[in-house]
Amino acid sequence: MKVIVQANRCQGHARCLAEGPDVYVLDDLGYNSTNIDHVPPHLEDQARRGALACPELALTIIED
Amino acid sequence: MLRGERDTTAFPDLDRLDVRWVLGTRAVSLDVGLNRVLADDGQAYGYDVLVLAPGGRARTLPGLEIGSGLHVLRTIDDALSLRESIRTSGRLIVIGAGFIGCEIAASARQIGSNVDLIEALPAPIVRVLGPRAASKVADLHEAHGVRLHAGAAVAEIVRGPEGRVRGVRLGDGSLVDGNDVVVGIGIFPSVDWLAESGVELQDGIVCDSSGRTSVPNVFALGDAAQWWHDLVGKHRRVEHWTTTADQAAVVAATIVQDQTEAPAELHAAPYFWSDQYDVKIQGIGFIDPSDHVDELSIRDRTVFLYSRDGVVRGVVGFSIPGAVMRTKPLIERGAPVTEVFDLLTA
Repeated sequence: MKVIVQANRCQGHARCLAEGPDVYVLDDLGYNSTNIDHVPPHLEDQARRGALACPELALTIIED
Repeated sequence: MLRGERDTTAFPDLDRLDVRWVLGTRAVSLDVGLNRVLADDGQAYGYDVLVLAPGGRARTLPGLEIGSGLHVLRTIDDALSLRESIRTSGRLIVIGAGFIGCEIAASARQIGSNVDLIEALPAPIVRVLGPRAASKVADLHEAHGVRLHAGAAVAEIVRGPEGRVRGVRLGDGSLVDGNDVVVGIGIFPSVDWLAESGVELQDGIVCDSSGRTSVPNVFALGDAAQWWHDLVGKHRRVEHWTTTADQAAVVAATIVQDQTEAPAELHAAPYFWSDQYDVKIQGIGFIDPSDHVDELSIRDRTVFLYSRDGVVRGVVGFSIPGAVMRTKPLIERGAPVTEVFDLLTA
């Protein structure tokens, strides 16, 4: 699994972090601009929930 | 939208849902005995399961007609009309300093408009956030040049020839000049059409924690729905749009699941945000100003913790989203406020 982040859509809600604390990495202000090239299998559920929680639809999950 | 950075609200991929859309058609009554909705196109729409999401309409001041310089902000047409007026007149009066009023004021200032913000209570958003957080919001608007009239009653909307708005007369007799007034004082849930339906109503549609109404095959969600929330032990109408999305997932799961399973329930703490100037105010949980409030300063940002009997119920932060969001699971499991304090100050 990969996660593509559209950084221009991110508004710094940090909801991805709330649902995927072990997956998503944000800057000091809560913005996410970091694609994740490989989500470890045990964290895939966190990654999915984090992407679904984004009000700006900034995160796209690419399943293997 | 108001600042002119967007012009449309586009929803992606709606066609892929394979849903039959019946647009431009208003539901006028509900018959829960015959399981059908009557609409203003003369049709009766039958159902096995019904989901009500009627939303609300903007409140205005008694006896006032929208138009001729008097605005509300609820629909995209409202937004486009208000934007055009702000651009043309460069001067705006906002009545009501709740979230909507404050966001309008901030956006109007950011595109160079003069702004008067009139609020009956002593500070902006004070009914929701309590006095300490509200005074931060007041400072923010005054620092950006908004003329804030707090604790001010509106005596009348003053109109010129042909009914055009000329200003707002305050309770102390003073006149605030301006040709455009926007009223942001909340919504009424659009439930009048359900009055005779037998679905229980109480400032909205009363639902359990799965969104089920008093009629078993009728659900409701969104701004008009009063869901039961275990976190506060009350029915609450939550007007935040992430809550509607959370509710939709619960209702959908409840409808499609096997009848023998326990229903899905909403456990997600409500979330809101409000962008005003360069500040992002975020709140999680049930913010109640009558709860105990602690104020923390973290990396020069302010966070308010709302707790009752030592249990955290809500958190509000000013431009510190990462820290605020980490508290969400703690709010959802009713953690001691000391644990939130430790997390934030670690």
